[in-house]
Formats: sequence, structure tokens, C-alpha cells
Amino acid sequence: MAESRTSNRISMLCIGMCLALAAHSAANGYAQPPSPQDKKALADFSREVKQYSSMEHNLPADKLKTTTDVAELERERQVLRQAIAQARPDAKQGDLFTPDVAAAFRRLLGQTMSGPDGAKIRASLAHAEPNPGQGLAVNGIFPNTGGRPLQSVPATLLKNLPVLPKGLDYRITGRTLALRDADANIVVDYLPDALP
Amino acid sequence: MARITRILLLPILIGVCLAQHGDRAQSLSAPAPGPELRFPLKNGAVRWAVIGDNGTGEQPELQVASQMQRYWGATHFDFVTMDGDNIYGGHKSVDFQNKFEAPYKALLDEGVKFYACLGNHDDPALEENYKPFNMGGNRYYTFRKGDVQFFVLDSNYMDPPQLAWLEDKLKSSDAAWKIAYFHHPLFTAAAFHGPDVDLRKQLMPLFAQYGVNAVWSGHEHVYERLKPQNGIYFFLVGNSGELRYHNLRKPNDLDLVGFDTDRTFMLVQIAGNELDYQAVAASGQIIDSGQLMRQKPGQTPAP
Repeated sequence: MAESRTSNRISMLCIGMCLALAAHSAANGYAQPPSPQDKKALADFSREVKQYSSMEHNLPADKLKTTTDVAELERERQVLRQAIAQARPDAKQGDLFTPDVAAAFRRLLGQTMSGPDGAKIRASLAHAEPNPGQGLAVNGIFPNTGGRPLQSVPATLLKNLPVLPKGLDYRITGRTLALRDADANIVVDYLPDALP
Repeated sequence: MARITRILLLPILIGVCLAQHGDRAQSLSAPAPGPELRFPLKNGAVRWAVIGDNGTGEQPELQVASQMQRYWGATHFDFVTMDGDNIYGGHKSVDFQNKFEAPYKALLDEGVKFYACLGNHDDPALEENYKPFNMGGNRYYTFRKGDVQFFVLDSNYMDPPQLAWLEDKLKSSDAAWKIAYFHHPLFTAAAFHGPDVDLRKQLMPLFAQYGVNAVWSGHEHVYERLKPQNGIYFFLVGNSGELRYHNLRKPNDLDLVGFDTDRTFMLVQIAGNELDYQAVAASGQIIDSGQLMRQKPGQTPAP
């Protein structure tokens, strides 16, 4: 009888712990906390983007400066693009979204979008003039030119992704997640099939 | 007989001539009728105009700009806030000229400042650094006019650093009025996009906690004055160039006034605890006007 009561208590304790864990995960918008392997991959990614950012800051090309002359802004942006391309001529898809990072991002995004905020995130994506997946190229111009809108990225999704240094952002096209250099408007790297 | 007729007719002819001259003299000296203003101009008020989704460079944008110019003559509003989609399509020099500098030339020449936020059709890096948009090289920023502080957000990319910045700026503001504006609406009865409920989840707690009084957005190409939400006044001006005819769901339980058959802009004036507003269509028709009182902390205003 006492054995049965102890067993019941242990069961209740386990259920309570599971509920507490689930509540914590739900509050953060994902179904499960990242595994140690994913945590390491995401930390590696953060380190790499910081290195990219430092490299960009040290380029012999100025950031865009406030002016009334739009042609001058275009010229400065073009100079910045060329300097970035020259600084990383061999850059290719997967340099930052390495296989481990890619797997961690896909899991994170999948869990976030199947979590308690999934419906809101999907509604926000649908609301943001989604564009069909467009061909991306590392060091290529992000395809929001010629009047195509730049799709907004849902706030809850951003809350669950690693924070980026100033000047870099995540962008979505189709199911692809791109890492974009905002000033130069070029693709730093991209992750196909990122969104479930 | 002929002489008698001439004697009788002469004073009549003179009278007619004098009357005509008088009419002409009166019409030459009378000022052209000014635009109808439905609120009194108050000394020391902060007065501005609101436009959104305007940057087409096409005739309707010019018509709205022309109405704004008429109203500037009557009100001398100090500045213009822009709810995003400031430049549609291409973003070359010529686009900024045709879609912004030419339509608002008269206002720019008078020194009226424009404060832009970014829409999804804007080119962030170019527009943040385009001096006449007064963004200071930032995608989100704040500025203050008298007792009114404006929080200009980038709703295309509401990342944690922007949310932290917003909380910090709201917390430290001692302005009597706090006004936020950004492109994507948190509430709307328009059918094309609908509200951004994910963004709403992030922003409403901050707006409520730190006493934001009024919010403007665009994106939907209509005009809306919405029922207060959590005690906050909401407006949508997304039809100062673009227009999506008959796009408002009717009936709906959100709008106090909705208008989706012409382009509009708004005039707003804040003095003390009063906010006066007036929405004007490209045709000159006044489609909405009224006065709102500044909310007291914890008070939910009547619709």
C-alpha cells in the first residue's frame, strides 16, 4: 500500500516537472529547449556573424552617410558591395549556416512554428506580402529591388533566433532564411528549407 | 416720347453698371475661400499632417499633396509624419524626385519637415539615410515636439534590440503625449492583409505599460479611426497615394469611421490635454473630424 502511494507521488512529481518544463518552453515560444549540441551550434553561428561584422567594419569603404543625394547613396552602397565581395571572394552557401548550424536553425524554427505562437507567426507571414522563393546567391543583391516588397519577419520568430550584430538581419523568401547585410543589401549566407 | 424714355432708362443703366462694377470690385477684393477647418487653431499647439502609402508619384498622390498645401495655408502645420511605403517601385534618384520631392515641393519649400517610417515597399538603407526623411540613418528613432514625443518604429523587423530600445525610450520619456507610428497595423477591419497579430502581441504590452496615447499605421490602403484598444487611440492612414476600393469589411466591430473610396490625409493638433483631428479626402471632402482627450493612467476612454 505504502509502495503504491510512493509510486503515485513519484508519478505526480514527474507530471508536475513535465508541466513546468512545458510551461517554460511555451513562454519562450518553442516546444523544447535547444539540446546542448544545438546550443553549441548556435553559439558558433553567433561567433561567426560577429567576425563578419568586424570584417565589414574594417573595410576601406564608408557606411552610407545621410544626404539629400540619392545617387551618392547608391554609389556608396555599390562601393560597399564591391569591398565586401573582394574581402570574401570564396564565400559560399553554408559558410555560416554550416550543417550543424543549419540543423539547429531548422529545429528551432520548426519548434517555434509548431509551438503556441505558431498560428500567429503564420498569420503574420501571410500578412507580410510573402514572396515566392527567389534565387539567392552569396554576395548577390537581395532580391527586393524593382518594386518587390521586402517581406517582414514576425517578431516572435526573431525573438527565438540568435540576436545579430547591428547591420545584419534575417530575411525570408519562400521557405528560405537569408542572412542579409542591411547596408549593402547583399546576401551573406542563406538556409534553404528553413521554414517548415 | 423717345426723350422721356431715355430720361427714364438712363438712371436704370447707370444703376446696372454701378451694380456690376460693385460686384466685380467685391469679387476682386474677397479672399479665395479657404479650406474648411473643423477645429480652432490653438496657440502653442503641436500641429502636423499624416500621410501613408503615398509614394506612387501618380496623380492621386499629387491631388492629396495639393489638398495638404491648401490646408498648410490655413493651419501652417509644422511637420508631416509618414506611415511607410514612402517610395513605391524603383528607388533611383528620379523616383525620389517624382514620388516625394515634386509632389510635396511647396511644403518642402516652406520648411515643413517630413518624418518617415519604413514600409515593406521601402528601401531601408537608402531611405534611412535620405535626409528629407529625417530618420538620421536609423530604421527606428524618436523625436519630440513640445509636449508630444513620437516613437517611430520599423514594423518590418521588430527584433529584440528594437523592443528593448522602445521600452527604454518609453520608460524614460516625460512627455505628456506619447505617440507611436509604424507601417503594419495591429488592428484593422481591412480585408486585404488584416492585422498583424504577432506584432500586436509584442507591442501592446509595452504601449499599455508605458502609457502610449495614440498609434498610427498604414499598409492597408484605406482610412480608419478605430475604437480605442486597451485605452489607446488607433488610426490608420494608408491611402495617401494608393487606394484599395471597398476593402473595409462592413459591418465590423472595430471601426468608428472607415473610408475606402478616395485617398486621404490627416491633420492633427495637440494642445494641453486635447487632440483635434480632421481627415481630408483628395476631393477636399472632410470624412472625419473630432476631438480626443488625453487618457489618464489606467483610464479607458469612451469610444
